Amino acid sequence: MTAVATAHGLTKRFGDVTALDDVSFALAEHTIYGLLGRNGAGKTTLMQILTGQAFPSSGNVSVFDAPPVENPAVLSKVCFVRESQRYPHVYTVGHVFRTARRLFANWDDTFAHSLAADFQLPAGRLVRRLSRGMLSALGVTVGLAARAPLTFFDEPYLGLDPAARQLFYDRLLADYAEHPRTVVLSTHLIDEVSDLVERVLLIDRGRLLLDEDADDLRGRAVAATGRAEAVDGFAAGRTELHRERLSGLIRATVLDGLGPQAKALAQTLNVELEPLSLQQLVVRLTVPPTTTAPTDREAAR
Amino acid sequence: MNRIRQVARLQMPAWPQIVGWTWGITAVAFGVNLLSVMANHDPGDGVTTTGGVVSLCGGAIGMATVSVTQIFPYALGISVTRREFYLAWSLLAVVQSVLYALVLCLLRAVEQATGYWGWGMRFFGLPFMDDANPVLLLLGYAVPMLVLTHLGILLGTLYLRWGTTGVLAGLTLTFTALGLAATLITWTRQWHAIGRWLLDQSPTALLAGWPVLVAAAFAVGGYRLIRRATA
Repeated sequence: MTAVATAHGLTKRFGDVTALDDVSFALAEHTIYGLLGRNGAGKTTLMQILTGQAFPSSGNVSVFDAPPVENPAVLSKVCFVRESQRYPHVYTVGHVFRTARRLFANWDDTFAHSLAADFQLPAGRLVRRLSRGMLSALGVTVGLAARAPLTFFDEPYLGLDPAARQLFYDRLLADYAEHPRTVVLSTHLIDEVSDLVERVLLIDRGRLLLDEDADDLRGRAVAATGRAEAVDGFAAGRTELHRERLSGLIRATVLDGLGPQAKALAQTLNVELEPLSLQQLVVRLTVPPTTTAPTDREAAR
Repeated sequence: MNRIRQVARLQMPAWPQIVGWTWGITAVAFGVNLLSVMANHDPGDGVTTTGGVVSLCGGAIGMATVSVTQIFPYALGISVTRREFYLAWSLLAVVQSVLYALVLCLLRAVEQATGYWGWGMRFFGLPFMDDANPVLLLLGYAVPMLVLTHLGILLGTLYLRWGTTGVLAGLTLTFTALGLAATLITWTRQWHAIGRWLLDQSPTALLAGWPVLVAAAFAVGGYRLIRRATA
């Protein structure tokens, strides 16, 4: 794999808070990544450091084989669409397009205007007068039309209605097919993008929990439902992420439970198996176990 | 250089406001000064120097600060480096100072041609510049303007690094340092020596030479601050 960006032992502290804790990974060329994790997990901080906007406390990052901080050669190939991007008070949508055209080497003006028409972005409107959804549409348009070899979208869909979000996914995929690049999509709408992302980076409380192919992850976890003893038998020797009681039955979320052997065992024990979606898996991996009602957990034992 | 020019153009949409406010404030000051001179006018009076042109200084500082704090987060967001941003804003400061100085030279000429606006009010001209040649006159307006614009940029970078607290702490420290320096000079009875030193300086050194050094010091400070700024 050709890496466009790497991080080694990346740590970022804000006073007592450790936003990123010894994170190491590599981003491959021509791949769409899903950067997943709960609020405050460290996703935005990670993207800020990769784009030279913030400084790591320790560890190092390399983007296109060089440190990104204050490096015009690197940054000219990078576009970071921030959810909380601030725009100058006097800027209109048209000003944003004109300045982006002058500063992004691969900017496609025709594409930008066609996207603006799709999202019904009014060129003459002041950016500060845009609704939340329109502001997101503006960010998405800039991020797509910049065609940067490494593009970060930080929660780009905020306030976008489902139709606009679908438009974004469709346009991203179509343009990606014609102009392959590395896209990192930070999002909470995991099910919506689960067909779009090829690889998943999951961060939880500053630590990198997963860095795997999305296809592998989809078959990774399973919900096993059945009588308590049967589920115990099935879960024995496997990592159990979660357990809940459903009208006399037990439902356990178990890792690596979809192989042929596991299926045969489940059939013998009369345990029903149901593959977990990417979103459910992420929830199970990042929600602390204490959130399950204690009585349920007692009963499950 | 081309890249710096493109980054500098990020300020273009804000120009009508920057120019409008700066000169609007000056126009209001001019009007108020003129009314006040007219109210007190006695034909026997000579020419009254109001010094009202300092109102332009406030505008220049304020607009530079606002433009840095408003546009830097956006510039960083579209992959501009802090260095490119600072150089572009420094370039803008030079261009703006020269343009403002040209306008001030013109207004000074109008002022003299109209017999000080018909009421003996010297607003744009300054007495110690009476003997200056045209080049020195232009520099005498442009260089102090450059100092003030870089002061505004410096305040903006202070805000980017440490917010309102940074700006207020910076100003407090500066006033404290200036106050202590003044006390020290009084204590050691050095005011006379300083006055003599100032009188010994050539007009060029006073109007352009030393202020250029001050502008350079502000520029170095602003550059160092912005290099670690985050949006």
